[in-house]
Amino acid sequence: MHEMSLCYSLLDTIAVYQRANMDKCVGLVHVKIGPLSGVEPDLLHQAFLTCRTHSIGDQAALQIHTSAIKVRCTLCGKHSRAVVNRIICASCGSWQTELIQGDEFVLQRIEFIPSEISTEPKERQYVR
Amino acid sequence: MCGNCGCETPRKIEKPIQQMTNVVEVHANLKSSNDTQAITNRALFDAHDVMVINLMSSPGSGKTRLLEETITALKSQYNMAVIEGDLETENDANRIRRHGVQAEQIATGQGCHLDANMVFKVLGKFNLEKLDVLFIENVGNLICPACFDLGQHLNVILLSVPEGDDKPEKYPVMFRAADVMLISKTDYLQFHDEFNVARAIQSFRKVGNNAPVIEVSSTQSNQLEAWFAYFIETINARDSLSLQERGA
Repeated sequence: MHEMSLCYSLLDTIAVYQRANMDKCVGLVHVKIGPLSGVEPDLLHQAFLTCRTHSIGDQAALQIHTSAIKVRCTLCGKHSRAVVNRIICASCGSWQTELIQGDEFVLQRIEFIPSEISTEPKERQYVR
Repeated sequence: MCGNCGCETPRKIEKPIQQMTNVVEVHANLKSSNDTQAITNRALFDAHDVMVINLMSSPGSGKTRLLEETITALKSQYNMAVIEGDLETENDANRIRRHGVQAEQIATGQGCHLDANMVFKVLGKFNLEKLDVLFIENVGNLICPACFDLGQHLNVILLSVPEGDDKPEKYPVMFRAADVMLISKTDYLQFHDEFNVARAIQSFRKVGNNAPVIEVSSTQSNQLEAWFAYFIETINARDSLSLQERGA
């Protein structure tokens, strides 16, 4: 389960931005995960619950946004959507495709909230 | 006035929570700490003209045996060394050392993959100046190793016959990462009617991978020649590329 090490990487990145918001605490963390990133949203959430303890994200909730796979066909040039184990052109059926979107694992934004209104960590939130 | 008794204390105005929230747009790649180390590793390998090959597959698909046969056949032409990744034991490293080649074991404990930092830490044990090829035998696992760039130049993925021909579709992230796929243990084809090489290649293409596919058997004579030819051709192509870059 490599999601644990990825969570520590997430918290390290958040820490960089926390320095400019020392008077606030981390409220909501938005992360975007592509189906080909090798990161499993449910496992990432479980790992986050463990890793945030006694960290700067102690009060934080994770909002996971999942993206679709999009490819460009190198034969017909068309763009189309694909599924994780059929990364082929939806237009001509060719497997000679370039990935445009779907392998990302990105920290999109952080919502810092005043320390006095931070409460117990929220339940997980998903946006699909 | 304060609103309670009419004194001069200004009325306290509560700001809505939304206004007190500071939203910071980041858009940062969360694998960047590993990727940064991988770039450093690759620069180090390039500076010493060492070609690094990352071997990935499920456990028991024949990675170590392939390395032993490759070392036996080609160690007179190339100076090779191996980094072995396993959860526990030095068994694989010992197998490589028997062939007179340096092998360093990384025991990951419960870790399911090697990462760029683990590889960097062990590099100090090698004299890169004297090496032509460094193999990294990753932890046997078809999931996690694909997510971590180690600084390698080539990803070699093994699919052994007993595993079944539909593995690429089942593990698309791993098989998408392949620069070459080796169908290993082809000597088992006679016992596994359900494994169809054409179907395995089709499954590999379905994940959008255009890379070459080579059939190998480490236990039969002459069944590794295509792999050796690919290996030598890849090293030669890289050497001529680096010569051109130097010339430019």
